[in-house]
Amino acid sequence: MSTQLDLALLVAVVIGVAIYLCLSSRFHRVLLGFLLLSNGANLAVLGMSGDPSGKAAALVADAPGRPPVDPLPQALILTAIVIGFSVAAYFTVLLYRIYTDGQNATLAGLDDPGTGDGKERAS
Amino acid sequence: MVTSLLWVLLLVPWLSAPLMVLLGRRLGPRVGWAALLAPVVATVSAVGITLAPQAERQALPAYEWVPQLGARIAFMPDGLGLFFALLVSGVGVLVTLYAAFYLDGSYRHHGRFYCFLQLFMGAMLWTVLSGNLLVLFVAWELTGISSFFLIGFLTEKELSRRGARMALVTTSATGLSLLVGVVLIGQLYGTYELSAIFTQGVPPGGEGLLTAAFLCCFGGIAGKSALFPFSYWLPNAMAAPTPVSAYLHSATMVKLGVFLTARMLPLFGDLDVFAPVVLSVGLFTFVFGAGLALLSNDLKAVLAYTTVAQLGALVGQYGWSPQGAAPFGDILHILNHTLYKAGLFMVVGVIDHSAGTRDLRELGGLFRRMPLTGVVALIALAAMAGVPLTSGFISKELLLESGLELFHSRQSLLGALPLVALLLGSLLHVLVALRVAKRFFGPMPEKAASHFHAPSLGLQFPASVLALGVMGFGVVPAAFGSATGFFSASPEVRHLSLWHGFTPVLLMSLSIFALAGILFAVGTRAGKAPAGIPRWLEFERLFERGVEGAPVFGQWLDRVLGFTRPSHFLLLIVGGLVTALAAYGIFAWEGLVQRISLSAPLPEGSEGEPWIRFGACLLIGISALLAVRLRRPIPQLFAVSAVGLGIAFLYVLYRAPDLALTQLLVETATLLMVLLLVIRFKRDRASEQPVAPVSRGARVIRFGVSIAAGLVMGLGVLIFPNPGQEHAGTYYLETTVPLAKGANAVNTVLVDYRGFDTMFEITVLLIAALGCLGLLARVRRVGKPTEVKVSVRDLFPVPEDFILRSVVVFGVFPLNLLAAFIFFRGHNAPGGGFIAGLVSALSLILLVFVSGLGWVRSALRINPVTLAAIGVGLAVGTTLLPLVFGLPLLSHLYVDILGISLGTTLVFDLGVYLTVVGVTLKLIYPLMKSVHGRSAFAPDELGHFYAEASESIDELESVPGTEVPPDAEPSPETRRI
Repeated sequence: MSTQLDLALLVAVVIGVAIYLCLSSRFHRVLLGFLLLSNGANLAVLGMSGDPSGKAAALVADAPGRPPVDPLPQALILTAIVIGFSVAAYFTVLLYRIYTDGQNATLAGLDDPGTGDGKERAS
Repeated sequence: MVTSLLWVLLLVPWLSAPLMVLLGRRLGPRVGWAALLAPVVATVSAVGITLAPQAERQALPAYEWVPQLGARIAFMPDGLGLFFALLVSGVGVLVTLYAAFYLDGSYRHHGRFYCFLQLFMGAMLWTVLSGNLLVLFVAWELTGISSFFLIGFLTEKELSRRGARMALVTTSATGLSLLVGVVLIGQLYGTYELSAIFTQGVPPGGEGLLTAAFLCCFGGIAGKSALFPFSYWLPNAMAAPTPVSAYLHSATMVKLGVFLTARMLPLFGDLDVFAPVVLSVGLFTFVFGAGLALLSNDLKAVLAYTTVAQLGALVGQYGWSPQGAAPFGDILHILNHTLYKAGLFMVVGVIDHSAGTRDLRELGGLFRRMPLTGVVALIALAAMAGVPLTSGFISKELLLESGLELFHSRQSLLGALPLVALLLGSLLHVLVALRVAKRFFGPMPEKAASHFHAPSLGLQFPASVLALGVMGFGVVPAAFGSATGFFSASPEVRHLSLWHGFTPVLLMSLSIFALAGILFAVGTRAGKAPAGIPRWLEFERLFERGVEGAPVFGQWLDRVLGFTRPSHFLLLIVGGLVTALAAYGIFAWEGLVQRISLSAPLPEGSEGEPWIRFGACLLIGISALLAVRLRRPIPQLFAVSAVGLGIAFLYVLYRAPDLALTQLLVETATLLMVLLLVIRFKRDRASEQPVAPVSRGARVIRFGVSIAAGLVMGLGVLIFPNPGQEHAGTYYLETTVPLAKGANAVNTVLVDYRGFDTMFEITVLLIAALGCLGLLARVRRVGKPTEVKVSVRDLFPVPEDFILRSVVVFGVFPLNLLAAFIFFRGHNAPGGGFIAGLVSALSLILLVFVSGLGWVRSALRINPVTLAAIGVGLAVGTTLLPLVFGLPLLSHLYVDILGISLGTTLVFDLGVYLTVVGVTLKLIYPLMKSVHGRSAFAPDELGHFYAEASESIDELESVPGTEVPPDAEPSPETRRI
């Protein structure tokens, strides 16, 4: 039995929920789905460093005698968190902008011709 | 001496260009007089170089630029280069003078105009004087870019934007062809130095490659000089202000094609394909352009097409060069065309200025109203027609003579074609000249007369200088011949005189004039104005269609597929990915199963830890499922946040303290940000807007795809770890102290080993923040404002709670001390610039919550975006610094002070810190205001971001300093969204 089964199940749940939310038609649910998706992807990368039980942190002289964990996935995730944060910020503002443009917080509002493409709707 | 003059010549326009922008703000239209300095200095130094002895001009130093590529800054001020340098700087003086009168107070951004003009001038000078093909190419492209800005200078005009785009796309696409040609030559000769290439013979067996190089280069030449079939961009570039048309699109830039043909003549002249290609394309363009000129009605378009025609002839003349030597009179033709065509463009500008129109059908009687310009125009038109006593006559006689010689030497029908093309083109030119000249006589139509005001003398002066040149060279052809012969590489020396006796060429000229006169008389009798250019000859329409092809294709696809919602695409993408991965999984099942069983059983010394992890995973999973289950947005958001915080705990269990800290803080910042949006939705009841009912089948598909995606990723987690392989991380761990002087391997990987990643990561952060600014700045309000009766207290009030206030106010300083601590320990222990930045930013946001945005903003003094830009600047600077010491990028430097290693990594981390603080603040500020339905920007910031046409985001409250809701609660009726 794999010792990372718990993480695998968690990733499955988080990613599944994320995709489900992303396919929603309400703006805030899509946004939440996106947040979960980036977290789920980070977890999947984390899994690559292997089971951490009994290992030391990637600090020199943290706990001599025990093997340290692989620092590279951690560094990659650190970068990914930051980029995920910037994209989430941009996404939030984008949704806000679409909302103030059309007073509509669902995807259905994007279908109307004349909204969402920057052209002013005849009012 | 020559070297320093060269540097003055090449650098003065570029040094002066940025000054123009600064001066333009102060001086307005008068900046044109200050702009005169650079071209005058350039002209003087160009004359100085020309007068220097030949030997001194040949022994010039060269400087390495990119030695790995073979790009050296070398100069080649031979006759050809110097002639063009004189042309560029001399005409530059006249055009700047003209522009100083032309661009009056009705134009805007004068400083910017002269800045672009001088950038262009500098690029031109580099192109013509460079002795290295790569440098030449770079400068060549720079001329195209600066001309893009000049053509599109009147940004508010649609025509001008389109013309600029067309010119840029056409010349840069053909420029790529030139680059291919240049690289081929470099590969063939092993060097990009022109002098070395010219002295070498063709390498054995290299003819084929050289031919390919020539064809590629000729693509670039044809694009730049608007030869057929690229001739469409030049008339469209006429949307530029007239000084630009006179300078770029008749006198200098479009002649670069001619220049390059002449420059590469020693290399390409011997090729078998050279003469046929150059002659046929050039002379066909000659006839084609002249024909289109006759059909056009816009005076500027007429001139543009005659320019196209003349460029064809100028390139084409190299086709009859005797085996790689320049033909006699090549420079003479170029000078002649520059003199009269730049003059004509200036005249058109004067007419446009005075009569308010450039349409030939609406003009008349100009001679009586402005005699000086009339005389100038008639002289220039005479030169275009090739009337004796003008330089145009000499030029045309020489062209016809060469055509006749070619016919005699070939003695075949094919050899007669160039002559026929020349005759036909000349005939058309005479007709065009007659047609324009007629507009100077007769009555002036009502419309133009009502608008007419006399032009100032200064505006007419530069064209008069050019007209004097046209006349002077026409009357004294011997001087014309010797002056241009000095620059020409042609070995032939001929004495030019006005009267050669009754030669066949003279007879041809006379019959052209006679025939043109008859045709014109007949045409006038019939009294029909040309109908304009037929649609099938408007190549620009094909171009536009090509450019707009991508969006049109997208719209077509959208229609065909019939997807009504963007999420359908997501469904398709995720479904496709899952299917592909599942197919691969089935295919490679056995190997994958082995991988899974490789995972070791519980290792030693883990004392029940897996159970803690299992519990954590269980809690996170439940939160995630709750996020789907919960209906109301705020609890849903908290569920998502719980997932994020749980993951932070999981990071702790995975021995990743840096990650845990970062995740904790990022999760907080994200929660705040999304909360602001969700509260706004809640306030407007937007989260309860009805959505279209979803069919049962669609729901099943959505469910199925989500579950499948989750399963595939989960399986991936089991499969990805591969303990059998060597990891890069091992190397990092072993070398982190000796190489990177830090015990925290994760941190050293970020700032040192993979510092590039981090640098670009914070750049992404800055770009995202700038993108958000753009989104927030230009919102058009659509739809009716809805009235919501919610009390201000529900919306995000500034709390008056004394305890919270005091905790925050007294907490800010310790929190920032903590940030400093985290920052400094980062290199050796968990921490670093990013985490410290988030702590600082969040502490400031807390402060905003209790004391209001206006107060914090004025207390901070510095604009958050400036802070972020400084941060990125520091990071990039630290990255580039080692280059100064000749070390590879990002090799950090260390100083030992009191036994502690301090390195530039600290500066790099400081950059990260500043960027994070700036970006986070900039993102949260507007959102915080928007929650109250207020303008996202303070009124003093509006000027920077608001375009004229756009409206404010939400309600614009123009009273400064009221970003924070006042303590007194306004009545609900007054609050609108």
